[in-house]
Amino acid sequence: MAKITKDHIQKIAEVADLPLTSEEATNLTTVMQGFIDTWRKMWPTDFDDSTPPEVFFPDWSTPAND
Amino acid sequence: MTEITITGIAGGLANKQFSSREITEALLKRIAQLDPQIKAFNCVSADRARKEADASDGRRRTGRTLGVLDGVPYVAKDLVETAGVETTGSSEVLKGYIPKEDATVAARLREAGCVLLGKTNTHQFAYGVQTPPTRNPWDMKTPRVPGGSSGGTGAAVAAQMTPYGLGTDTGGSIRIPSCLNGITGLKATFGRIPKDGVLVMSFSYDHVGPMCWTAEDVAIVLNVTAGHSPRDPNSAKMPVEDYTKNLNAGVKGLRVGVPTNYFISHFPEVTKNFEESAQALKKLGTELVSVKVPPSMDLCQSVGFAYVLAETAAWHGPRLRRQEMDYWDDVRSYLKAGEMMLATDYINMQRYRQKINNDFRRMWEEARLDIMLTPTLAVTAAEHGQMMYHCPDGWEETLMSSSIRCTFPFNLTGQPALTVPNGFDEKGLPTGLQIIAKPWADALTLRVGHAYQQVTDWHSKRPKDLAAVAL
Repeated sequence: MAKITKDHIQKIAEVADLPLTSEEATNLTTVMQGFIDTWRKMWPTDFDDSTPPEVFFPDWSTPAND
Repeated sequence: MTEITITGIAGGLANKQFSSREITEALLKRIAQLDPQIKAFNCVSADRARKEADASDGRRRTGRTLGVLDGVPYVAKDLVETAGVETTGSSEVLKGYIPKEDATVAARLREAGCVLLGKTNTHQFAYGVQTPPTRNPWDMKTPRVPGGSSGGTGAAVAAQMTPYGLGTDTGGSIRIPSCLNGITGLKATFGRIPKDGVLVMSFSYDHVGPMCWTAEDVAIVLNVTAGHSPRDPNSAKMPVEDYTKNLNAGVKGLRVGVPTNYFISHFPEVTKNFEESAQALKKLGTELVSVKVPPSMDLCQSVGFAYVLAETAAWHGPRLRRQEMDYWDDVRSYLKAGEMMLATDYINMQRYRQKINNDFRRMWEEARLDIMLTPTLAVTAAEHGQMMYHCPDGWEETLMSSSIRCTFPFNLTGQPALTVPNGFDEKGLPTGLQIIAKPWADALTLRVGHAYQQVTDWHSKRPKDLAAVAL
């Protein structure tokens, strides 16, 4: 399982032009590690690989939205 | 004394017991008296309300009433854009923002003759379940949350400062404050009520909808607000029926699912009230069916919340960079966490949402359900500052999780979910019954809610500590 470091978080913030204090980076390291530890572990091994995300049906019958 | 409900006020207007201007002035006076304590309002649009009330009275005098809602006052959560009235999302970020146009939902209410009393407090940009500093009117001794994020609307209705209002619901934010304030609220089928002009939290889960005292009042508002808007590509073109037409059709023969897992409360009073509600519906002729919710539902909060993290971060991105310190600490933290998510994780969450939907639908169809019942919340209103619930049986749950656990699944599935009041706990705090139907069976949730409200009187109870309205 990936090990998130403060350096990872700070580099992502830099790429995203996101202001981030040192304290925020420390907190986010814990948050994102927790997310990875729970979410990726819970991703079921028997999940049907063909399940797509939500389906998009285009509709040109009404005017375009802004 | 007139009941401060839609049907009560509409009846009084029709019978000429009072004018729209008179009821509007009475409610403005009550807001001035009570809101310094309740803090439900961000702004009171008194001038606009008076103009709209006078216009309604003029129409009534000349026999040109627009419909049952003409002249009835309401409030709008401060996420709903209202022309000429500040819309801030309860934030400094949007302080001074005065929309030029109404959101479609507000425009429809204006066209129906509704009178806008003001904009109600929300947890900042809808990103929470406490709605500080608003307090719950059911306990004026110990400050308690009204729930969120539509806590301002919930408290304003409960305190009888308005007969109804608009809320929004991304993970439960209409139903949570409706439950905790002892009123009735509807998260309609996703796409039933258009959301253009409503500040975005999550494109995939946002809903806007009514918070009232009764299922009948909710149906009246849904009649006016439902239907496609070309300005909202997520609003459905499904035909709009008359949601009041079959309210009295009864519930005999309906198969009603009662889950044996996941939607469980660890507070005995909540459980007792839920069981009594199910029995009340059984006495009306429904068939109760025990169902086991699929195990994929256990990931509902993780999937749903991660979606919200990413989508909200995307919408707020530019403002977060320009005005980050104008965001509350908790909201700012969530937004920055959302920026850290990998695209592949977000896509896989979309796939898992599809799995949750497929599993839940399979359970529903195999059990041949018409309706499912759950407690709306597994808890009652927390005290201000409380972040955990410690249950009598030793179970512990965070405020966020216990608030959204029973509501969030139906944002993922998009099903209509109505909450109605169904009792109180030992402290006198309201509990709620959530009534869920298949997608587009919004009318059925209202029919069941109305039937329940014909044999119970929880929706008639009012907070004791507040002064009575005098007309």
